[in-house]
Amino acid sequence: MDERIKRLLYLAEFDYKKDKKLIKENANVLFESKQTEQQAAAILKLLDERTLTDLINKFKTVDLSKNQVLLPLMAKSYLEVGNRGLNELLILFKSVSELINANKITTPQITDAGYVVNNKTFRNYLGFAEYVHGLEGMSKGHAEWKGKINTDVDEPPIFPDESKGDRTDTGIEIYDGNDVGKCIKYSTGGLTGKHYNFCIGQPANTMWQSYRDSQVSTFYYLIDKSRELDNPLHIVVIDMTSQGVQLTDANNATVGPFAPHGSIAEFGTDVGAYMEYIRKRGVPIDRLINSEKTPDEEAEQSKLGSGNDDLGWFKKLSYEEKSKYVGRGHLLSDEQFNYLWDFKNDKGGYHLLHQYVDTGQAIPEAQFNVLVSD
Amino acid sequence: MDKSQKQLVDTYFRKRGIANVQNTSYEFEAYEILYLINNKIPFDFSSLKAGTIADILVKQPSLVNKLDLSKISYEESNSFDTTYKINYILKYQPQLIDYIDISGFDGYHIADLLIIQPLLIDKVDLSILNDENITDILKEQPKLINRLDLSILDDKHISEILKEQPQLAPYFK
Repeated sequence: MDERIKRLLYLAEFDYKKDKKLIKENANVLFESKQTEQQAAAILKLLDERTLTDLINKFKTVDLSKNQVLLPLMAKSYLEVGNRGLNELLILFKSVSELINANKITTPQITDAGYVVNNKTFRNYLGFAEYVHGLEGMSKGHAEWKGKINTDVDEPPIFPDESKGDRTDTGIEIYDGNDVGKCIKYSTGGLTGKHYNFCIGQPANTMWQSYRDSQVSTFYYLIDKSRELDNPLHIVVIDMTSQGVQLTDANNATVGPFAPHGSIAEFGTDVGAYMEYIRKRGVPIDRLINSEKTPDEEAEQSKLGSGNDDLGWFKKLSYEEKSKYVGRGHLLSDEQFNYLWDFKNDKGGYHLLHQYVDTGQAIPEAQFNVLVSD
Repeated sequence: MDKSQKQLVDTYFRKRGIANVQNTSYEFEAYEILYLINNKIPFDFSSLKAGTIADILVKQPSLVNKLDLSKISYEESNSFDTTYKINYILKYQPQLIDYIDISGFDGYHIADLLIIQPLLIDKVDLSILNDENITDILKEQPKLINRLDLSILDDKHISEILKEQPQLAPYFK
């Protein structure tokens, strides 16, 4: 198609009195799409005409990008994967065009060095496909997960809860610690900007689960904003165990049924007095309940409780599982870290990496060098 | 560095800083400190422990004047731990011998040092080496044979050396 055809199209559209700008754009799209189609055909010139037409039509059905710019790239990829990989190729490029339209990736190019996308170069189709599927998983996984949990905003406290008519002037906030990842976050600066020595809140700890297993611990983090940060009662972990209430103050001093000889600041061994004190301050203490272990919790622990350096295993985790695994404070293997690093500019990848560097623990030197690299 | 990376780096150091101040088990690693130094980010060197100082010196010996080397000075109470760290530094950066006090080293410590860093033979007191120390050294560093007093070795020690280094036999005839 040349300028004459373009002009004819323009005039034809003009007859219908459409917006000039729109007409011009349409003519350009048609013209350029045809161009990419011709480029694709040139790449596949060894095919017979019928096979070629059939193939190009298939490419066109999945290329949702503007001007169908992916057609030549699909043709090149087809030369690598052949008919056996055609279905997968079509699925991949549908995803690619969706990601382009969502501004998640730049339009891929093929150079002498291989496939280039988002400033990354992949020597072959397989590397390119793996990257795209990973990005798609991060992106979609994060979007789905955000539907359940808002990862941009911290989880709200269970007290005060305005929907339940709670007073908001007590100076006290309570957060549930029903997940080891939350306890790590809360103990490593997530609530007060301070780091605490609570064993249930150290990265990669196994104590949270041990307490769940042995005493059906159900943790709550109480922040008392009326106290200065050097006051041991400015944060108290309340554990509603199967045997009763156990308290731990900021100094990591504990008292309760499983620490009968312990003592916390101000209230010493008198757990009841402390609970009465916060009740009088306005805390509905009946909302602090002991929760039985659930089968889901057991399954999650069995899958994510121990560190696993294998990249394949990590990739197969759902986005939510990846987040829970990272949130548990496990150090990633270099391969796993580098895998996430490729997606640092995607919201999903960024969230996981942010979780990873947010625990206060040192990451291994090789990963550190990637983190601070120019 | 793009915006995402910069935010990740900021978060990392902010949380590392908080953890480091409030929990001794979260001490900065040598590679983190070197990054801070090389990027002119203020850092309190006095908080560093001996192990980290050793790691820093191995990686960047030019920082020797900025670090508190008294933390790796030899004392009876920490002899094993400290000699291990000193030997680790001198293995990779033998020129730092002039900054590190090894006057408390006994024959065993000197033997260990010469085994891993024979270049320092002129910097140590060879007169305190006993027959066992010399045997240990020669088993690993036969090239030092001309520098050591072989007259104190008995047959048992000589045979022990020759078992590992039979080419030294002419020296014992």
